[in-house]
Amino acid sequence: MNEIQVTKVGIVSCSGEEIPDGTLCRIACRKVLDALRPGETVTICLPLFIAGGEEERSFAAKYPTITVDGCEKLCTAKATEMLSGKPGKSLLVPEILKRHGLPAPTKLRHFGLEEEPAVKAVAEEITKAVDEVLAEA
Amino acid sequence: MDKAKKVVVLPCSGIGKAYGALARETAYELAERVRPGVATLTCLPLLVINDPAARKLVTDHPVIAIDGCPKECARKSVEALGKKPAVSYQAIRFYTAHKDLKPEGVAQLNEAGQKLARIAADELAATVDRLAAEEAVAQVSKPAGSPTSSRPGVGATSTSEVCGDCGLEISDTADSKSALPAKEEL
Repeated sequence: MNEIQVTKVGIVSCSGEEIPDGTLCRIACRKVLDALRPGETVTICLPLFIAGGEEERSFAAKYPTITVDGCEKLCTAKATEMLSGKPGKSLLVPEILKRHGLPAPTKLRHFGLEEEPAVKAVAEEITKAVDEVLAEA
Repeated sequence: MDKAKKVVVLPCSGIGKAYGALARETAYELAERVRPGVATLTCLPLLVINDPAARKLVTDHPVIAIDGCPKECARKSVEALGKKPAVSYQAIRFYTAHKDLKPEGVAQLNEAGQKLARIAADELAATVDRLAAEEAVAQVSKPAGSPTSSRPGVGATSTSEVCGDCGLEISDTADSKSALPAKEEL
């Protein structure tokens, strides 16, 4: 039987326009996609599960997926499971910040030095999850 | 009556393109600087999971959808609730109207993109005011017990115009039975 080699992990980010933790999700996910694991990660805009076609909805079937949520409503994990496929791992930003003893961001935009430790902590946890998913595949 | 003063601004939530970031920055400018207390944000993914509070907000108030790409997730997510946005834009139109300001960056917009968002939000202020005023009039003229939304998808008409000042193409969908003319004032 042929085995499919998994070389990329799908990252689905909360967009959370209404909450600072949503902005933190976006920036941390982008950091992983662009700088920390650029060759091993891909992403999709969450609303494309509704607005897109079959190709978008099959995202979680094509890639082992990590969801990153900004609040307890867990839109990203729920929408991915409901509309595409069960995520391989689900991360929640407030839990990550709590584990690292970091305060939640208070701004919706224009993050700077003050928010950098939170961005770094979340990006590192996503990176760790990417490595684990690839190792398990 | 507070309900009558809200206009929901729903931007693209993508993290893949600068125009998505421009859409979001424009929405933040409207909600935080240009029309705070009137322009209201909600998270687009809340509509994807059919969150009751987000659904009610969008159903009860006029919506301005600002999309970052032709897939138009923001507009389609509103339409998936059985409602049409009062007005919808594609953020690239903001750039074509101000070609000296090229937006770049996805996680964070560059300075030109931020300036473009400020300009776009200033230009959208009149639209927010008009929609809020229409909603207020509709609330006053509505018989007791009637639905709260004045902009149902059914019976709506659509027009497409170009702003005389900035050249933005505006797709305006308005209830044909609205108390005020549906004509876009920009």
